[in-house]
Amino acid sequence: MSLKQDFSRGIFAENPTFRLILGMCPTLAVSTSLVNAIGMGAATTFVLLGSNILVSLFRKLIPSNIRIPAFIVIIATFVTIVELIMQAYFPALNKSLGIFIPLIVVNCIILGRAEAFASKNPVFPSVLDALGMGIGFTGALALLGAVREILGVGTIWGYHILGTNFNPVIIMILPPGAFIALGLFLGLFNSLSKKGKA
Amino acid sequence: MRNILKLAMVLFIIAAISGAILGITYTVTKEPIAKQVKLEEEKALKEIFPKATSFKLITRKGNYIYYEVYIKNKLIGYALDASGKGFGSTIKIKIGLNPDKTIKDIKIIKQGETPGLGTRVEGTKFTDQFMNKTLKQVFLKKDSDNGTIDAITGATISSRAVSKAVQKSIAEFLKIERKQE
Repeated sequence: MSLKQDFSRGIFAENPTFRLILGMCPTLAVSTSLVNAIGMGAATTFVLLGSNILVSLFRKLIPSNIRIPAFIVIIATFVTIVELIMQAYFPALNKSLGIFIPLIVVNCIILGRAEAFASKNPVFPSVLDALGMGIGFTGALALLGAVREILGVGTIWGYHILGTNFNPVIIMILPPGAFIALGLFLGLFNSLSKKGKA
Repeated sequence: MRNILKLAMVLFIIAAISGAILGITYTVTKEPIAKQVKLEEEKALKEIFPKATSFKLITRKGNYIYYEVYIKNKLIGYALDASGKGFGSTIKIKIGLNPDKTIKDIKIIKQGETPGLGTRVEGTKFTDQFMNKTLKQVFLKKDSDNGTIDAITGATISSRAVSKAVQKSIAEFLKIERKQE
């Protein structure tokens, strides 16, 4: 498979959120606003990049029967680094993402890429894979976050755009709104990919 | 047997490296984090008592700590700390009291509640409800007939945690104050 595909796969064909339906917990919970979505996406991309690089570097040294615990330790290390850095330098974002930063550890996209890609491929393709998947995840979160924030609060990136007469559809920033928005986007992406094939 | 030892060694090395890296990160970020926490507390105190000129730290009964707030030499209120278990985290709150022991204002200084739901306890729309209330009034409407606080839609547990922490802190403060007099 070509390097270009290693990169672009995560963005469209195997978009973790809309095509593989991975990492739904942070997707549903954090896509309440565009800021949260981008912050979460960036944090996840950083962890994904770090874990893919290390897993790929050590892929020949890690015996296959303990690869999962080894991957988890590597991932947990990066997540803790992200958490500390956020607390130190991005307190506002850290506050609004709360518990979902430490929970990146259990995001199946990251373990999934370590297992399915980085543990079998050299470092450079693994970097591209991590960037592609990270961008795909961030983009999907941003789409959901933007739609939910506009409909649910009437703002985008915190700015009011729909005027004071707009009556927010509060359900969109509550959990049911997450499922409704995600379902509609999944349908849209499915129909787009069908059209692409036909 | 040998194999198991080898596996354990590999995991041990990975964990040791990871521990070392985390140790470094912790050391580097320790001060900025402590600074952020302090800034946050000072900001909260300033917002509650914008005109205050000095805060006098009072320690009672070993651990219980509060501030007496002054403009020059005139006592204008008290600042208390409160904390309580929310939905997914411990919520930390600064409470400002007027000299007559009604609430001046409260500020949430630390919480890790559900983004978009529980995190909204920080908003003034919620915290303003505590202004000028007495201890007996700061219950949720759905918990008590005397309650005056509306819980946030979808975040009852976080809202209740804030109201309970505030009640507890003020009750304790009043008890200690009364013994003094």
